[in-house]
Amino acid sequence: MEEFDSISEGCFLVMPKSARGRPSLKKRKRSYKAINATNSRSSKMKLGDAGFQRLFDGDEPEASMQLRSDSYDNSWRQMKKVLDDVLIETNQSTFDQIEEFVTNAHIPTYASTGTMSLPFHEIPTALVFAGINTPDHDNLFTQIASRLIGSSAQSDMSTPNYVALLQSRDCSNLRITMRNMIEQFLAADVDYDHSDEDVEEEENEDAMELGEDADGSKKPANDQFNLSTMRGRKSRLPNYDMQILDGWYRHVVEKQSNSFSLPNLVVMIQDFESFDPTILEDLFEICSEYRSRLPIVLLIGIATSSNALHQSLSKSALSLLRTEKFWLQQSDVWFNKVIDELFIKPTQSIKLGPRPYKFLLDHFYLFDFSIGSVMASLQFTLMHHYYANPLSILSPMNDTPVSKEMLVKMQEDGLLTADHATHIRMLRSFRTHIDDICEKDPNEALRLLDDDNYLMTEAVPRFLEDLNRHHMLSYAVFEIMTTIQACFPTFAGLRRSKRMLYLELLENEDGLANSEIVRWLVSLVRKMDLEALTGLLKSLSELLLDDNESDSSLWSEGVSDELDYKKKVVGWMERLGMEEVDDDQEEESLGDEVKKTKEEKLPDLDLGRQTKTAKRVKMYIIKKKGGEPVKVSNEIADWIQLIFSRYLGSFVAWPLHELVYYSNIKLHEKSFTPQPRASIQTALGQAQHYINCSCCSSKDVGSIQPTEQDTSILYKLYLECGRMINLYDWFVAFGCVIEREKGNKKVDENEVQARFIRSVAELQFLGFIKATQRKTDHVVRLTWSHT
Amino acid sequence: MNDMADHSAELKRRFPGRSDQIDTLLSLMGRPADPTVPSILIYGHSSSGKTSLVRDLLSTTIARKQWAYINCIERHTPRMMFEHAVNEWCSWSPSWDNQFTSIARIDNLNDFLCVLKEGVPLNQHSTEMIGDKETRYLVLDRAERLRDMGATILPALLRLSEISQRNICVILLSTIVYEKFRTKSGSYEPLVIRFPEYSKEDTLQILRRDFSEDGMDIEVEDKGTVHLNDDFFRSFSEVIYSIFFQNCKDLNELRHLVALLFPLFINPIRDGRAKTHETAKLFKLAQPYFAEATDKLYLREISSSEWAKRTSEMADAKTTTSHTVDASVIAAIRTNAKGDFDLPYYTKFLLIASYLASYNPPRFDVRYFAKVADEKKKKKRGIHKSASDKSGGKMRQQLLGPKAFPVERMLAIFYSIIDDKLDDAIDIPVQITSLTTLRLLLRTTNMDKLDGAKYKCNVSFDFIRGVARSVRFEIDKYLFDFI
Repeated sequence: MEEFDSISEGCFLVMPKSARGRPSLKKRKRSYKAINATNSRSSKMKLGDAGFQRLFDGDEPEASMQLRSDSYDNSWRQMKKVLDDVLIETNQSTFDQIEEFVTNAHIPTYASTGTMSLPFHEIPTALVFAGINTPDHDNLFTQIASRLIGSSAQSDMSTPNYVALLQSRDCSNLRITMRNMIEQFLAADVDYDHSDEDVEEEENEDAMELGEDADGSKKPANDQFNLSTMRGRKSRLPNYDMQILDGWYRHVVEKQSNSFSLPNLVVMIQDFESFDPTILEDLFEICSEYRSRLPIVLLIGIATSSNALHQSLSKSALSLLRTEKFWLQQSDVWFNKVIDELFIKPTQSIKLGPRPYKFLLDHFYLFDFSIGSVMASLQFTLMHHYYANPLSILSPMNDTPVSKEMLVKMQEDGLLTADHATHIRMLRSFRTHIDDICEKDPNEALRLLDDDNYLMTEAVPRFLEDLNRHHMLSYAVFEIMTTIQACFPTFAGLRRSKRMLYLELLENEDGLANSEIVRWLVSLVRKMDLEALTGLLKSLSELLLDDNESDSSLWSEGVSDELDYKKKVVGWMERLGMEEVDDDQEEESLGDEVKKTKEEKLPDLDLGRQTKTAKRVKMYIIKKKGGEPVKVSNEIADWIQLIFSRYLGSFVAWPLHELVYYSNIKLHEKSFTPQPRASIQTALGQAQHYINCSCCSSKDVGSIQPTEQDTSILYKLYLECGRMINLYDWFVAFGCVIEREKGNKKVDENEVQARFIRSVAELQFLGFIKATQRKTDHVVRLTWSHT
Repeated sequence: MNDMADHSAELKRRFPGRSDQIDTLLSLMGRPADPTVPSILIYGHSSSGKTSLVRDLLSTTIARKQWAYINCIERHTPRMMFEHAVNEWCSWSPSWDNQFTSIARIDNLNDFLCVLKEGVPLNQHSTEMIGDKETRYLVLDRAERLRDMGATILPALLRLSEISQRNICVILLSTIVYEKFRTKSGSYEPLVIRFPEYSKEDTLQILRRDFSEDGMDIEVEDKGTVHLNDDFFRSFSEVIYSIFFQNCKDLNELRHLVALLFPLFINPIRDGRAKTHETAKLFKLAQPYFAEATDKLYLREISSSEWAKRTSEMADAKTTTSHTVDASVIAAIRTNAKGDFDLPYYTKFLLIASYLASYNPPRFDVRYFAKVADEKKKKKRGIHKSASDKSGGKMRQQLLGPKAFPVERMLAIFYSIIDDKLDDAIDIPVQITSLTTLRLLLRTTNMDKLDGAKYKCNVSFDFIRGVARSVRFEIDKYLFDFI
């Protein structure tokens, strides 16, 4: 039992000597690499191929394993690229604005608009509102920083900038903040290299103070060792002194005197809310003091609203800032785009099944708005898919679905084994497919079940091809659906966002085919009037044009008649176009009177006005009602009903969908929403799950086995107690259980006591009990639950 | 001596309303080699001209080498302060060429005194002696910060000339009175000079200095240019002064407002709606903007650059449709405080729960949040409470501010106000932490006390009402103060 005495185990991490201590100047790499490094310190850990294991009890060919691992790398790289691209794309315009702001910050355009100079030395300040999820900001601010630095490299016209990125965790007091800022600026300049080491020496100064003087030139003439030797020595400024920055900047400017614009010094304060306001006030004060000599631009990242600024800074500090506001896109804009790009569009990548997808949605919208956790979740999905599923070698990759030739080649190379075929036959979708066809086509079914070769090289590519086609079509129809939906802006209550529609498509057994929204849309289309109808057709044809560019092949493949979409839409357009012409003519002939009456509209007609014009208008409307628009709208409604029910089916109907859709939610939930308390309770209450020993596994949960771990025993006794636990009673009960273990032999009192105290301490450490002053020899019970 | 008189006249011209102080200072300084008082404390409100006057005075009367200026915020450690002072006294500035070295290494007060006594070796042959003949001055701006640097620094500086036996005068500049500097152990008292507030005349004169001496020309529609002279500006600044002098004595704030509002004021002249001499009319035309914007400008809710953008936009658009633009500008000023940011769904509820926990007394929790409430009891209590509450309105929690609450209580409220059943997963504690980093919640217990953490809710009622509305939660019904 000794080896299980604690469920947690302390360990000491001893870092190698070189990496210990403060990340020194030397470690900070030049320019923005330094900033990169600070932000991605943690993400450096990478899982190598070594993580993959051979499946089928180790029978899987080495090459297949390699293939899985490579496909994982590939598909994650692709996905990551999409994720990053979308992020950059959504924030592009704001980035541009910020860059422009920084560039113009110290060009005195202000003088022309104002008529008088301002009394305060205001520092140009950009307030960057970046959304509430602060961990995501690392990425964004690194990007801004690298853009500001990079702008100088691209064109020599624009002002080069030096950037220092300050994060609250590195700035616990003014001295450290200043040092941090100055070091980052100076590190950007390679020429400072030679003096780097000297500054570091300063860190472990004093040691050499008594020995020979480092810069011997400064020894006084009379070589005596007296006090003045030390006093008189010139010394380097402390590395948090602004004068260093000032002097360095002068030097930089002198060196690049050919350039006409001076570089800006951009100080980025990434997480304003977490900073100590007093430090910032002092920092602003100092920057303002140097404003005439150093072109400092501040960039303050704010997660909440500008109120935060006003709440935490004093009036005098606020008056030093000349603020301008910039809003970065909220992360949900990014998220929606990502869902669009990755899942709704028919890309060749792994897709999420209903539950993981819902998990992703819920987690994002209900809990954290976190870009980082979405990325982690997706990466985990891929990793798990390729790691544990031997069939993942059949998953689409590199933007191409697995084709027949590839499979034949794989077969020849020995990548595919009988085990793979067996695995495919075990897939649920495959089994239902067999069930379906065994009546209609028993031969086919038999062949699928018997002939490995046929299955792998003929059937599987066919299945995958079908699935792929399904994606394409359902995407196209899905787009039509959202377009139609957008045509009814007044029914906002019934509208659903794309991501929710997609969720429904995934979740329902027969997709969206018979769902509420389809019925609703169809009935609305039926009731459409002419104007709305033209609008609808216009947007449909626009969609068509877009489609033409991207996947024209899809439609021209000549899917089937009812989907001969292009022709149909054009046909309707023509018919309505005619109608419109008629309309115009009629209106012209009727003249202005009709127009007036038309504005007054139907209610009057129902009252039965007998004027001549009214009659004519009535005729006109009836004619219109029975005319083409009604027919067309009915036709459109029929058509969309048809395509919706046919193509918006669920993916579950397709065999082998498991290869593309990842549906394993259990592991996902466990990994991303751990439930620490539940696990601890299980560990204590039903220790056999964790310890895996035979002696404790009793069926009866409530009973207390003497062979169990001490803390477990104590915990089970604890569950029977009330709010206050008498330690002595607890101890006696514990002793009784222990005694049973020893077979009613007398146990050493001291041993029992020692074990008892150890377990009590453990329970206290885990937060189950608390010492109290209220009653002697009692502890308070802190948790209440039914497990 | 004639020279001295010139200086003083020049200074008095540059600093209106400060002639007494200038005379005092000059007489205290005397001739360069005269012994002086060991220390002087100059205090007065912010922007009463302390720093600029002292700097101007010293730079016009004595050599640059004789005095050192130190801002105690920037030189926040004794080492920086002393090294900088000695550097200035030796005309030495650390730069790239000398590898950013100071002329001497001074770590503490003791080193500083040694340097003062022994002098600073400039090179092999010469040594700079400090304060052996002519008085050296040490100006310490923001002197209130000296109090944080260590108990001995301030008392020692106050009698620096005595303990260093050198001719050194320390001038402290501060916004607070000397009483606040006194330490328990007592110290030598400096000579105190107070810079009083400016009178109206002085203020106007100073305001006028921002305006160029020979007036300015502005372009007017159709009619070429109009000359604005000093008198025009004077009348403008008088108006501004009369509006603000009761609330704002800070000269720089006044200058800030004047500089920002002036373009608005002369706008009507630009487009020909008023003449330069019609001050009353001009003022009436500008009045609505003044009323809307001044508090926002003063509180920096609208920054100067945003304001400049706005007003220039307005000036551009003026020619076409003046009235609608005016209205929109005012609307824009009003809505400037765009404070909305989105929170995740459950995080909103967490925030609401903490708001309720902060503003409701715990004893009523059962009444508001118990799922199966005892109806009878509830009613009785409600009546009883409302009767007593009418009188004790002053003690409303809304007026008293948020109370700290234990996190368990907040979680209990949270689970009771959300509709869905939530698993006890890690997300909720994570969200509490992230609310804390956003400063929407404040942790009132120490970080190293893991047990029984307490928080406060740091948002206003308006804010929480917005949040509650976005999740369709009627917060008024649950707030003790509103029943």
